[in-house]
Amino acid sequence: MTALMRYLLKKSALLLPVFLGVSIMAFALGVMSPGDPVDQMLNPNGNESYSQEEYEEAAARMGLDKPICVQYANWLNQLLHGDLGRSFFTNKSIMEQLSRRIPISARLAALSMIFTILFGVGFGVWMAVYKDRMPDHILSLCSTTALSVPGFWIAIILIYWFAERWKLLPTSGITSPAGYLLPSITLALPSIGVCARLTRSSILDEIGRQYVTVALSKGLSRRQVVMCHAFANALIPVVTYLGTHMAGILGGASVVETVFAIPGVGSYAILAVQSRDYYVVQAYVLFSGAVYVVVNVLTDLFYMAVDPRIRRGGMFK
Amino acid sequence: MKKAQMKKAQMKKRVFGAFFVMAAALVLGTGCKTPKGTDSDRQTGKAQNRNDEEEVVIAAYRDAVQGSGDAFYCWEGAYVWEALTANNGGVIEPWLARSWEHDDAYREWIFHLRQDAYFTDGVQFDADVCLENIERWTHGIPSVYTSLSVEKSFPNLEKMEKVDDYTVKFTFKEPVTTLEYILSDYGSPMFSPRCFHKETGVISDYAIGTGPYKIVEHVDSQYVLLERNDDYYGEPGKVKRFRIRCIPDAQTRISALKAGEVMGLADNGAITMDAAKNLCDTDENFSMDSTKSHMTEYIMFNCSNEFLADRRMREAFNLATDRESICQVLYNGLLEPAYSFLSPQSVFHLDLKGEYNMEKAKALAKEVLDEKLADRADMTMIIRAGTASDYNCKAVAEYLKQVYSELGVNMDIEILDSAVYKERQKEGTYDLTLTVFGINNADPISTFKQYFAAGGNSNRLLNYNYYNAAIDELIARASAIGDMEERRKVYDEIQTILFEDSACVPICYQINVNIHNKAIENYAGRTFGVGLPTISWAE
Repeated sequence: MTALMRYLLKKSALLLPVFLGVSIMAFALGVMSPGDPVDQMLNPNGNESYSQEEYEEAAARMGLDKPICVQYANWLNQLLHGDLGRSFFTNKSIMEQLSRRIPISARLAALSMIFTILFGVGFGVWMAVYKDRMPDHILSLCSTTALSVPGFWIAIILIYWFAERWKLLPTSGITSPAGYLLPSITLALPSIGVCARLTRSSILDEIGRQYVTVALSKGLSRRQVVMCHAFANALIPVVTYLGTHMAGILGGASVVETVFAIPGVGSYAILAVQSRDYYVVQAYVLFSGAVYVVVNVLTDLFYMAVDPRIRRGGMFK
Repeated sequence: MKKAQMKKAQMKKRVFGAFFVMAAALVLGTGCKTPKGTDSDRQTGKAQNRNDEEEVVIAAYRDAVQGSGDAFYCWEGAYVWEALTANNGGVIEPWLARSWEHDDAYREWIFHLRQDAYFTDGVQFDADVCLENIERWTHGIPSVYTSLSVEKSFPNLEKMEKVDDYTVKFTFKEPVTTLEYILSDYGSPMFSPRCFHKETGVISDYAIGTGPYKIVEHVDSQYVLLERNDDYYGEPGKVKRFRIRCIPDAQTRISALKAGEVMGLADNGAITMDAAKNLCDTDENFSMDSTKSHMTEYIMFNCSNEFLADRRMREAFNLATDRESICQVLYNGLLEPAYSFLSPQSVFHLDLKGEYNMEKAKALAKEVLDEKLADRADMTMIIRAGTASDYNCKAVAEYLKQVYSELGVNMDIEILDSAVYKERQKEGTYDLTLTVFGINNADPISTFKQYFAAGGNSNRLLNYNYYNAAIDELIARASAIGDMEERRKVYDEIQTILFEDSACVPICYQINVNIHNKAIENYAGRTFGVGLPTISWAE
């Protein structure tokens, strides 16, 4: 059995307790959060009256009249049968909703990722190549600004210029592919800033190493050394960051999805939290947990692909 | 070896260059083009040669279609389904029932149904279909709009029967004096029996109603496409297609309107009065129309508070509330001051006039504080976050905090998320709440009971804890009165007592603000949304 196979098996075995832990956390968070889902269902507008009998009947129908442990066991049982239940509030199947919304969030995440890689890594390399020169100073300033500005403000500014003023892109919705552009730029801008700075510092770290001095002394240009030698080695921290960034967006970019009226996982979670839709919140937490686990495994595999030292040594032993 | 390395380096350089070219192309290629489906070329706010075959896009804060899991499937404002009766600004009008009658004891009601109403799948609306729909309500299908049940729409129903093809009769165990009110709008939605399962009552595909529009496409949480029902028995809609988009964020809705992506905003709270007025004042392409709403802004008291249990303290709050200034300054003169509990949209509204008298208010508050041996009283006012943002309640609360400070009240304002707000109300850990609500149906008896009867659900569960024996007695008396004029007298008495006893502080009667691009006309508000059938492209 190869080291990789052993590693994958080990990771898979660890998934079970991780998921169980996540499921307990997800369930507990739902139960502990303030608000009464029965009341929320019977009185969504806060203006309707119901009797104690109606309340008890609804609680029984929703399974909320049972002890917490029984509720958890029932939920877990449903989960193992591939059923995440139905939303208390909209009465829609959660699994159906998630299957419809995950591809939307995934598209958004992918586009944002493309922007982050293209511009974040690209600018980072450029900054490293032109260290302490004009491009480096300008891009440093830009990246610091990008990572400091809050997402919702970026969203407002982008909508104002690209949709209201220039009428080039839609303000919201995803009726056309162009609808993904502004939200993905909004998500990407701060991460471009982080990624550019991270790439720059990683490459500069590598440049200080002996193998770079050797390459330079052999007559290679600084740009050649950066691109051919230092870049691959500098990728490890960048990939780690990109992995968590990807998982974050896949798990729901709530604010951005709400502002741009994108029916993804994040906006679904926001609605669920507002209406104390336990089952949806629980499903969401479980989903985001799973996304992080999977993305972590993929990141580890990527380490192996880019760094032979890891392949031969540490991680997969 | 060196040559190979150089070649490799050159290759990478090219890749590096191509990298940025691709990035630029991605932005320019995919982004900077007119989005499909938004019709921005024609929705510029200037009237062009348009005909009513062209689609009109409007935006709402929520999806107009909730889907199969919801008892009503879609919002009434989509004009897809119709009910037996309609509440038109407090007046009950025939809809799918063309007339009705009842016996003297109000225990037998006969409804005569329209004979020319067809569902958009070709099924005719008749007595059998009507009864089949009522059977459907027994399945307890939840809804985000309001609950739908036989018990709610037909309280104490003994039996229902078909008299002839277009007549149905309902017999009750107890008198029901206001059935036509209870059945209005969301009280009796009618769908084609072909579109819902008999066993579960769940609508399987798109809802099919008798309304002037039908659903032709729905993308969950994005939009619904409505098409005119050309076989509608009444006046058909003018525009062939409407697309109602779901844009949850308030600022984005306004941006979509300014960008010309949508022609109007619909649904309660789609835009605040301030934002609408500001937009109309600064951009001549937009027009604002306001329609009266049944919603009223109130301060409700937690009467278990030792100070607020005293009528004089509540009266002090009432007298210190300068409604005229609130309406003029904070609501741009668009709202009317409220003194009666029932809004003018109710046919039972009693026109009461109160006063603003700060000196008297201070004296009353001082009396109460002195009796309780207190210099000042600490109180907490809670507001639901949604109410604060939709109705400008935050500004009102801040103003009241200053005013009530002069009464010797240190008021702490807390704006809470909906669930937390309800939790606090249930716990009773608040003293006042600034809230906006309307009456549940056209007959206010259930609302009076709910908020002011000793055993009223909201009064008890939300800890208003208001008690007035005279109110309890009048509510009980009104419930047994069949004659509407007699009932009106009792309702007048109830409103007068609530006013004199300062059971709550009505502040202003709300309005629905409807803003639209001048490219469309006849964009008028209705009880639920805007009147889609009357909208047309401007000449």
